[in-house]
Amino acid sequence: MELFDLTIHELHTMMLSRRVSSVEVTKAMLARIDAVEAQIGSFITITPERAVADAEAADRRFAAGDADILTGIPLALKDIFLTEGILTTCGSRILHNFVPPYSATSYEKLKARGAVLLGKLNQDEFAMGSSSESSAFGTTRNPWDTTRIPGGSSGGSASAIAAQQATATLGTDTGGSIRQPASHCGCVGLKPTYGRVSRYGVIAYASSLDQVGPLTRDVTDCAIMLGAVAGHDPKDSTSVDTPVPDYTAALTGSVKGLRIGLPKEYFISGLDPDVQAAMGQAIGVYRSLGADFVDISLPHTDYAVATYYLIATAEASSNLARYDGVRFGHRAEGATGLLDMYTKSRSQGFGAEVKRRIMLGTYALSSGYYDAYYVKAQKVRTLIMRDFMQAFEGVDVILTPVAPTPAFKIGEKINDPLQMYLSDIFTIPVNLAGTCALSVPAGLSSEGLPIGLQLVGKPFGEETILRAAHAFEQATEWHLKKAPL
Amino acid sequence: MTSGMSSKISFYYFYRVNEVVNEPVSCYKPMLQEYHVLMELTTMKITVNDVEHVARLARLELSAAEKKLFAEQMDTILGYVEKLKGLDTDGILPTSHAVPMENAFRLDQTNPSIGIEKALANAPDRVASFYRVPKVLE
Repeated sequence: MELFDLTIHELHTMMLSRRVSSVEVTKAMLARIDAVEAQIGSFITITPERAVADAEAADRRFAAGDADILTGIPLALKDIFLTEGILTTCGSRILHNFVPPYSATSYEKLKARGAVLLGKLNQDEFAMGSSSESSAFGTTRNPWDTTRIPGGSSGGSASAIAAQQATATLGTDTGGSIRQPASHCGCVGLKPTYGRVSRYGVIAYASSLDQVGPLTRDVTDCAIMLGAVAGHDPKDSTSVDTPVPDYTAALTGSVKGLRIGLPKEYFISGLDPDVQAAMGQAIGVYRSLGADFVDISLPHTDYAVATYYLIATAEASSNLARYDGVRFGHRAEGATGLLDMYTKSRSQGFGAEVKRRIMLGTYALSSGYYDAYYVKAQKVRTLIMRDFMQAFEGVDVILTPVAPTPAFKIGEKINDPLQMYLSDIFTIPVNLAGTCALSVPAGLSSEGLPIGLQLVGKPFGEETILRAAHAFEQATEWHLKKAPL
Repeated sequence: MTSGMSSKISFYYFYRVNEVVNEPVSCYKPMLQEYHVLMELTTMKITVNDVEHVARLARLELSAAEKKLFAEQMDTILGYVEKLKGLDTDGILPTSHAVPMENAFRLDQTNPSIGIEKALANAPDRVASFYRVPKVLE
């Protein structure tokens, strides 16, 4: 047993009984980061002084009897979360020098509970990507096979869990950016219902789709982290004011009578055979636990990727208009006037994928194309949402693969954007529908690569998918497998 | 849209189709093949001129190589999204937001703000309590 390899709930029990201090755990974690970071590259910024100071404060809370389940737990955040006084780049050269004047609400909530900040994690630039290769600060490697991508865009958030460089992390998910890397790195990752977690202080990519969520070693930790960050925030008017349940109380271990839908459009011929086999085994596990299966159809699935890449890029082109070199971030030298400064700063600061998406979004919103592309996509989004709402009239949970294949090789799709976009085919519809879903480890491929199972829930049905994932975890040992590092 | 196919296009899609045949990730094949059939009927639409126009709107300056690459890639991606046009959406309302929501009002009260020094701390260039930028008017 190593301190860097434990869950939140295991560490909490040990800290509560004074078998270990937060400073000891944090130092063990920092040593682990030192030992493996050169191989993996999970972090953009490591904050050792801050981590030790946070840990000392946490130990004082334990001594005062004021500790909470997250007190003293070493966490790391995707570099998309604003952290006051700590460099926040969003994986972009245009923010290479940006030190935020305030923090994201989700980080403030974790901090208030005494969590320890280890640092900021690598990601695709502005969360645009499925491989973490578009970061301006280098590619993160998959701890299970360092010639492969960890997934993206929250690649560092998943690789840090798999490489035991953090106990839990936060990521964001716009089209699968929590679930796909969680699947590729063998950890648990949850995208909450849109509006469940505040987006305040989270750098915007596509505002109608972006959502904050946790990546963890097991489902119990996932429930703990979700409970900590969920809830209404007056600073985010899209956050929803519904009570936050105790998600850990939902983990009863029972799925007897649970109705699980299998959408035929997700079990297409040509699905990677190892992924197909893992799904078959998972269905068998749930059957043996007493769940009932229902064949369902989500008929507009095939239109989801096209819909997503119009809506997401349109919103991105608008959100990224703020990076102009005036108030923060990179400013180009030697501009001849204001317009020239905007153009040069943006052109030097943004990478290829970000430029490509800004261009696509600008095109989709431009005069003459707005109705044909953007409005059309919004209408198809309505049809995709209806698919889910109709399916949920007859089932409690929908079971699908997270990704069509295990992690692909670094460089394999970087020059073919459409191929890269299609790797998100099973996760994107959930964002368009605005509902919740998670990835839980469900197998290893013949090459030893993790395969995740996706459970999709009704809007604000996080308790049900956590309960179903927890029951699966109790019945299997996939979550205990370690990356051969 | 289906009228006329230049020689440039058929050459380009030959290349693409071969690439797909060699593609090891089999589950994308049906989607891509469907798209290639569609594209063989479609004229290459995005030109370098279009790219230059959109880049101006987006305040981006692209090299000649980037313009050529983006024209090809945007054409591929926009060709793929053409599939939406085959879907009947008459009478369907567009969705701009996933969760039904009323207007979010708050009391008209002032709260403390972060202050000038903190707000200006990231300024690339400043004078007193102002951001300094290059000349706007000649």
